[in-house]
Amino acid sequence: MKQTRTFTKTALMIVVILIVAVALLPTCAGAATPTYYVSDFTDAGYTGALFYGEYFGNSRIPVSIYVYGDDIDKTDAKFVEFSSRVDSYVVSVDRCADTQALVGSPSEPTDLRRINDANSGERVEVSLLTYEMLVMAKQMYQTTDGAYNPASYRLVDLWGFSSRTYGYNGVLPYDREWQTYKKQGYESWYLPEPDQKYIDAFKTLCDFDSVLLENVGDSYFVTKTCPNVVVDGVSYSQWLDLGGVAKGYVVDGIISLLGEFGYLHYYVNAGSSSMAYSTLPDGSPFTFGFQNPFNMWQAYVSVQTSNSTLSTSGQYIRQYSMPNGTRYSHIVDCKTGRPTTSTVETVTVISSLDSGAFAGEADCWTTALTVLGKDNLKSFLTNANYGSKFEVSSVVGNKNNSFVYTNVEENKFAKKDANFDFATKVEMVDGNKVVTFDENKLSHASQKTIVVAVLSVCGVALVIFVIVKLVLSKAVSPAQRIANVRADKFFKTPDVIVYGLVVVLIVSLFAGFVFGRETDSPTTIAIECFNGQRLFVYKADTGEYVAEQVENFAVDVTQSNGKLTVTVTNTKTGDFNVVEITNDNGKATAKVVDANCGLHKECVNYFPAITTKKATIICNPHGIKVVADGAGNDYILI
Amino acid sequence: MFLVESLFPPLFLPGAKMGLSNIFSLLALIVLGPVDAIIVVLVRTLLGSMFTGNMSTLMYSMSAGLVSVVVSILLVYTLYPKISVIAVSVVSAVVHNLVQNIVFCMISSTPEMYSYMPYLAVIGVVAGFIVGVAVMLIVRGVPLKTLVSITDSNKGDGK
Repeated sequence: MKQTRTFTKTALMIVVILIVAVALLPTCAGAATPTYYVSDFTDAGYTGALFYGEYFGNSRIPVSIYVYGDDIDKTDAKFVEFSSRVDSYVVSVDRCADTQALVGSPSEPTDLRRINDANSGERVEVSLLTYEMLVMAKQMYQTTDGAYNPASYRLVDLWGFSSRTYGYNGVLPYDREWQTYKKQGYESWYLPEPDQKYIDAFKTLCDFDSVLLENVGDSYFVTKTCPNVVVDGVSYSQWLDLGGVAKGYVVDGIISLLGEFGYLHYYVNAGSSSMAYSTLPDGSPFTFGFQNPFNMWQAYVSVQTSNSTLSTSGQYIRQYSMPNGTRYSHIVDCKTGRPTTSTVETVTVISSLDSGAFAGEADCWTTALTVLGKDNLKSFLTNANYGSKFEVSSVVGNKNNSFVYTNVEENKFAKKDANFDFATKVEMVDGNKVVTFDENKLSHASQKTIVVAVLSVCGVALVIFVIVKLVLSKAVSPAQRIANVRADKFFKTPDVIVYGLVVVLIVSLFAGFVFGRETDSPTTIAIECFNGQRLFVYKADTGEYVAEQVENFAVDVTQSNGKLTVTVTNTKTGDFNVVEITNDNGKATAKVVDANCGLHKECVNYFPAITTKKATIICNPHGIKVVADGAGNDYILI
Repeated sequence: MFLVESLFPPLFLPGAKMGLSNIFSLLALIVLGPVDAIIVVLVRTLLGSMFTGNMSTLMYSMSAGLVSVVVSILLVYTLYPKISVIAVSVVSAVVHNLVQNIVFCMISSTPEMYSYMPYLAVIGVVAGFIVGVAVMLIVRGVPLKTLVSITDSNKGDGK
């Protein structure tokens, strides 16, 4: 029987904390700041070594490689060399594809920066790597009929989604300032629409075919032949962005390095959108949960998969909403010059390592499929050529009405997640299978609301029924009824039956809930929001903890006398809860010792301390709960 | 008028969590009738949540209150006078606690809370017993004329 492993982000977060700590150390000018770190990791019985680095300047793409093996650790000469080779390789891709930062020492512009800075007709010499990436980009541009378009970068920049503009106010003539408005009580940022003249102008720059790639001997050249456009007297040249292709290249290069060094069990993640993996040491597949675009702390489906590359694209990853409700995402449609209006919210493409597809190819497809829209997506799934080469999972629609379209085989779905529940409606298209999941099952929350609504309606119906019945029945006059009660005895014989039933109920409740209960002490203690969002996790065996950086929350941890005091504060409302965790030789307990949740302070006064698995303390007014070994995730959420 | 007066008792402070406010719903049921009892429950839960500063508790305390009062009504009008008021009160209190727990677990997505159900049921028995006894004592202690006059005045003036 295959085991489904448990994986938490704890190891990764600890490494990040280490990196931040070391990064704060002063460095002398000229001394090289390491771009990566190595560490050991342990998870659910597996050990190995971890490589973690951040690249691509302002875009801050994290690259992590988990190499599994009991005999592998961070001090291994082989692993150290591997890490160094990985770093050099990623830096070399960075030097080609980074559009914004100046890299290297002395700083010099990257290939792509020079290409973008060049004017139409100028011949730019580039490295082999850049040339290769552009060749692949051209192939994908043609295969997807322009839906994947690296030449859309001017438009992406215009709408505020390039690393140059996102979140910052820029300096080009068409830049606008970010504005805010109140959306459902909180601040929402948006960029006012650009002038139509820029949209029209930059649309003409989207011709990627016109980019000339030349290989002369050992040299490679790129020439933009698409003419510059002039708007208000300022000339703009075409801008290219290799985006997904670059990340795919990073992943592909790492895969061959892993092969070269003989590492058989690994999981590589570049920027959370491009991944590759083999199998766990015991041969079992990895389990990934695909992020629910409407509830980012949960997965909409989790899939068991091995020996593949995986790419994910989502409109929800980078987007903003206008005050009138229109949503603009970072995926731009060159045909309209505007962010796509496609209803495809997220696409995940998996391609087997055996099929010979490059990770970059899958990445391009995720973007293309988003732009191409729902109908083309369905055709893609059933296309004999593509459908057999790629496994695709996607969410189409909006929060209130969505479908999952996928051609992943049903037996690969891991249904263990409590937050996911689906019923299948199978559509037969030309004899090929497109599995469509019913929209209402996507989010656990909506299902619950329905149950509560149904119960409430039943309750109200019951009340009405009783009232009607009473009105119609021959009522005992109130005076008579009062007199009856006055004359009553405290105990009547038939009471025994009632009491007997109550005792039976209580006994069965005990049997059901208490005797089957966990008595082990907790292995993890987590502080979460009601929607599943984790704020803090503590591991009882190692004493390690992770305080997550979550929007609108501040988590403060102090340690004294072997006691951990965690203060969770909602920065928007000022609500706080103070949790005390003690650990006595691996036996952890947790208690809420203070909170400002109203008069009763239920979470402080009415809940016993957590001493066993599955125990919980809930602060209802704040929407915060403390859970020991709760219904966590059995998958890696991507 | 009585309704206005009855508004004040529901503002219960901590310590009354054992459902002592159920005394008033049960009293209302006996003295005023089922419809008034339901109204008392609605008002009690609404005001109770508002005044303790926890509107979030409204959802499950109101549903629990309504279900338990409906159960009491059903019991009173079907089984009574075969069973005592105290038995009715015990069942009502147990139901109240269990429903409260269930709704709460569903809203906060915390299935772990279900493990408290048995204890809540036991507490319900104790609370129901106390409430039942209290109600009996009040009904016996207050002069019959007073009780009847309340009923009459209420019926006469309407709501």
